Amino acid sequence: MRVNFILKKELTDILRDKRTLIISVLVPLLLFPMVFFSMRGMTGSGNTSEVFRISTQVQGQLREILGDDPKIFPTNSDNTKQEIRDGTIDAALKVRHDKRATYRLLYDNMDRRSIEAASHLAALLKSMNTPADQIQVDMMPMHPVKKAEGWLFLSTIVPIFLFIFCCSCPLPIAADISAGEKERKSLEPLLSTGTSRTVIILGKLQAVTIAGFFSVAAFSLGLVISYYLSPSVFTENSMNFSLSLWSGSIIIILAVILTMIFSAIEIAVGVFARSSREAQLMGMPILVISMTAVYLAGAVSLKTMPAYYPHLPLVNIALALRTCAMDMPRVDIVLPAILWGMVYGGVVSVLAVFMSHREWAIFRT
Amino acid sequence: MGATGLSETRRIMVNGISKKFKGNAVFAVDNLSFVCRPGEITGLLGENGAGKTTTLRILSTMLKPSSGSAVICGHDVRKNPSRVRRSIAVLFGGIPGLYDRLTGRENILYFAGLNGITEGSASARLEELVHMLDMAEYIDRRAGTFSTGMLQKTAIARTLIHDPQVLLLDEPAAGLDMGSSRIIYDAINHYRTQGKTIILSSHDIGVASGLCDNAIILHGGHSVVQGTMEEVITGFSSLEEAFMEYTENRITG
Repeated sequence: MRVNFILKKELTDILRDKRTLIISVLVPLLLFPMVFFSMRGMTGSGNTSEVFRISTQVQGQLREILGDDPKIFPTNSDNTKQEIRDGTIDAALKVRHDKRATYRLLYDNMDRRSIEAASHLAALLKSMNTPADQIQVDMMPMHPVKKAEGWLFLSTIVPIFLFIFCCSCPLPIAADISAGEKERKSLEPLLSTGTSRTVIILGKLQAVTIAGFFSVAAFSLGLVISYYLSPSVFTENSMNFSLSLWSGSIIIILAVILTMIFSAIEIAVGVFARSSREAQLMGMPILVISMTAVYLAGAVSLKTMPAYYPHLPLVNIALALRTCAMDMPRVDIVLPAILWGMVYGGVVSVLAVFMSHREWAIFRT
Repeated sequence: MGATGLSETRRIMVNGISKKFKGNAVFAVDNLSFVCRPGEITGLLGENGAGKTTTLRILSTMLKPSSGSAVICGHDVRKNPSRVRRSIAVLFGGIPGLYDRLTGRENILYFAGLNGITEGSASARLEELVHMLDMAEYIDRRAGTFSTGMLQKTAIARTLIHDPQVLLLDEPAAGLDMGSSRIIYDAINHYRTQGKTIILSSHDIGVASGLCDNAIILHGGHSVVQGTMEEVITGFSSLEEAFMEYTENRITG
């Protein structure tokens, strides 16, 4: 009976805390749809109004059929491989003159848009099959299939998991060493010492970043070990995962920067919060914001994305992670991401220091 | 008298400070002025909500005064808070605020470092404090295992480790047994004889009466009376009676 009595009191208490309710119910409710939405954005835009530019030399009735398809824009190309690589065209349809009704479909199997274009075109050609006239399509991917599948898979999961880890791992640590100081009543003794608040906050930021990064590394390692223990859980076909030392190093640098950014935001939130529990709850929406950035980065084609994308906060880091996970780090994406990342890190650190100087944050009741 | 000499004889000069918190209609501290000299203990007395803690927070640069000025060891709390912090030691009331997972020694030496004391001189000073406050038995245990008395003594040692000229102590012996309280009051007396300037905030009038040279009685953020202990209790049989009379009169108008 007493258990029920306590249960009733605790539930009443929890249900009256609107902030806890919103953050512990609404955030998880939004988070996973956003994660899967991001993954969908990365594995295919699902945008039915998209028009694929297909280079083709076919003439006659087939060309007319292609021209009539609302998703295909037939064009000519002199250097198909290079233009597919550049994103000027999405795929190329070539006729095999040695075999009747046989076509070769060249596409970039490291680019989701090109893969979608090739799939659409192949499906269209196959739909034209009749018992008497069988069309054969030879798919010609530009990269080794297993490697490309592995890289594409990595480019999907690496930004998502790293953003989740870099955001959530430092959160309890940041909450403990910022808002936790208020709970322990050690904040005032700390701030009344001869050390400036700026130095105190920067020291704490470094500690959270280092501890948070080790936690991120442990999570990532756990994920890698899980893959080697049971690869079938990750994918039905065994993919070839390989990353160069260069790409791996850039991913680590980006993860450190990302951890630092989130740590600084979480310390700023922690300075404002009344307790570490409140700081953790207030930190949860940051995860939703980060997932939005991952989605935006995943939904664009790396070849045709707008020029401002590498300058969008967090989106640029997700883009850089994407290219590195594909083992194709691009200077025009990675360099701005690192530079901007350091700028964001500096700005949010200043925000954390600013909060530590505000009476309304320190003595919030 | 030159500025340096003045700041030596008047180590704390508070001139008309007021503090009003956002959203509050009344002043937490209203037009408070006083002076504290070396080798003297000034009792800041009042009931809960009288403005004692807010005054100490202003002097320790935790809060900015809404108006007025306060100068400690020649440094203005508003214009030069970091210099002020280097000259003071603050013991905040209530929970001592130690790090449970650090030992008593680590807690104290951490604050020595934050106050710019080298490891060598901090260790020597720590040994003195350990002896004075009778902490040898538990100084190397984790603070999470300490009793209330041990926590409070460790917090005091942490406060005093950098040997500042000004001590701001908020209820230093609250919740302690007689033995521990005696050790703490003896330590405060010892620092008075060393020429430190001490402000002791308390609502324990008996303790203040025996310890303080001066008294400031606060009520509703105002100073209702202040002066030497003799001046404050003139006309009354004890400080307690004077305190009751001044605060009661204020309440009843």
